[in-house]
Amino acid sequence: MFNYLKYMLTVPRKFILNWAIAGGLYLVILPLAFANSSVESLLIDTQREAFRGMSENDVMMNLLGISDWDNVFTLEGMVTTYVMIPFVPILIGIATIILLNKLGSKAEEDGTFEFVASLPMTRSTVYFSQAIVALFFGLFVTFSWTNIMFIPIATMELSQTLEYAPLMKATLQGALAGVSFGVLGFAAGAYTGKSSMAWAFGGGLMALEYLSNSLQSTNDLFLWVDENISSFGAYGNPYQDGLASGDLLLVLSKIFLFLAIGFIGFRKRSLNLR
Amino acid sequence: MIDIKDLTMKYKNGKGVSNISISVQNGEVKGLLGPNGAGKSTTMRSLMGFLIPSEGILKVEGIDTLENPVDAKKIIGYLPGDPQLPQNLNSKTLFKLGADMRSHSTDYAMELAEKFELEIEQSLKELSKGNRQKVALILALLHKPKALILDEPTSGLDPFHQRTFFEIIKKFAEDGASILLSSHIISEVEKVADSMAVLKDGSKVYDETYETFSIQAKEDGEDLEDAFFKFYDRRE
Repeated sequence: MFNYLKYMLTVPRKFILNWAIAGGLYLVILPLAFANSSVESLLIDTQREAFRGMSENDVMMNLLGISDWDNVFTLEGMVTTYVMIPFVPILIGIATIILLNKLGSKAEEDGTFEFVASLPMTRSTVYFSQAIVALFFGLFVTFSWTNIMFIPIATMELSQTLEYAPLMKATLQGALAGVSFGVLGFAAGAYTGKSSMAWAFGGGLMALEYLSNSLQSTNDLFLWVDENISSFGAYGNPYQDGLASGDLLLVLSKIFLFLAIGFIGFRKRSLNLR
Repeated sequence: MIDIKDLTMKYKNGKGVSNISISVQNGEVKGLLGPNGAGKSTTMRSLMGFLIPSEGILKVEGIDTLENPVDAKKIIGYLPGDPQLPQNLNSKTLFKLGADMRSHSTDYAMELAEKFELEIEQSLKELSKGNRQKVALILALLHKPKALILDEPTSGLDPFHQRTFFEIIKKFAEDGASILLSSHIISEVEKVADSMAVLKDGSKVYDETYETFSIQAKEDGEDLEDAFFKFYDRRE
C-alpha cells in the first residue's frame, strides 16, 4: 500500500504541487492588501460600491457566501466568507475529482490503470489507497493555502490580522466540505469506472448544495437541504464559534458513506478498460 | 502453469468469449491467435482478474487469479495490448516505482533496458511507440515472473528488437516460465511458440502444437498463412 501511495503521489506530483502552492500565492494578496492603508481604503471603497446594491439582495449575497455584508470589508470577513465558503469547497471538490479521475476512473478509460491493476494488490488495497489520497489531498491543499496566506500575517505589521488557531478551524471545516464533494466524485467513478459519473455525482451534489445554500430563503426544500445535508450549510462560523461537532459529524458521515458505496461497486466489477 | 477452464465472459453488448479452455505448461510458449475482436485480450484480462467472468476457473501455478489475486500477480508478468504509461515520468523512475511495488530490485529492468537500447532518462511522452512498448515489456518482466501473459508483445518493435524480445522469451521458457502471448500474425508465433490456440468470434477453434499445425499445413499443400486464414474462411 505504501508503495502504491508513493506511485499516486509521484505520477501527479506537478498537479498536486501546483494546486497546493498556486492557490496559496493568490491568497497572499488578501493580507497584503490590508497591509497598506491606501490599498485597504481602495479595496474597501471598491467593495462598498460593489455591494451597495447587492446588500439588499439575499440571494446575490448568499451566492457569494455572505450572510453579513458589513463583515466583508475586513480581512477576517473576506477570508471566512468569500474564501472559506463557497470557493474553497468548490475548488477543492473540483481538484479532488480531477486528481482521483487521473488515478482511477479516467485512468481505467485511458488504459493507464491497467499497469496498476497488474500489480500484486487486492481491489481493497487499491481502493483504500486511493481513498486516502481523496481524503488528504483536499485537506493538504487547503491547509497549504491558508498557511501560505498566513506568512505575511505572521511576519508583517498589518492593520488587520487573523488568529491562527481559529483560521485553521475554518480551514478544516471548509476543506472537509470540498472533500465531501470530491469523495463522492471519486466513489461514483470507482463504482462505475466512468469519469463522467464522477463529475455527474460529485459536481451534481456540489451544484445542488451550493444552490440550496444560496436559495435557502426562497424555498423550503432548499432550506431543509441546507440545514440537514449540505456541506455548505454545515460550515457555520468556525472562525468565531469554533468547530461544531454536529457539523463535523454530518460532513464526515457523508464522506464515509460515499466511500463505502464506492467500495461496494469497485470490489467486484469488471474494469472499464478500452 | 497457466490454466484457463471453461471461461465465459460477456460484455453488455453480447460480445466476449464463451467456454474457452487453454492451458500452458511450464516451459511452454503458447501463441493465442485471432483477428481483432476474436477474444484474445478479453481472455487475458479475465485471467488477470480485470474482467469478472460469469463462468470459469482461472489459475496460474495452481493459484486462482480471482480468489487470490495478490499471490497470483506476484508471479505473473502482464503486458497490455495497448500499454498506456504515465507520461510525465521517465522510464527509470517508472521502473523504480514498479520494482518497489513488487518489492524487487531494478537490476533486471536495467539489464533489459540495455538489451533494448532504451534511453531510461528520457521522459515517456518523448518516447516513440516502439520505445514505450519496450518500457511496458520491461515492467512486465522486471520481477522475473513464472508466468507471462503478453498481449501483442511485438507491436511497435522494430525487427532488431523483436529478435531481442524473442531471445528473452526463449530464455524465460528455458527457465520454466509458462508464456501465453497473443498475436494476429502466424509468422510471429512461428518464431517463438511451441503451441497455438486460435480464437474466432469469442470461441476457441483450434489448440495444438505448432509442429502439428505446420505438418498439417504441409500435408494440405498450404503455406502457414493460408492454413491459418482457413479458420476464418478468408483464404484467397
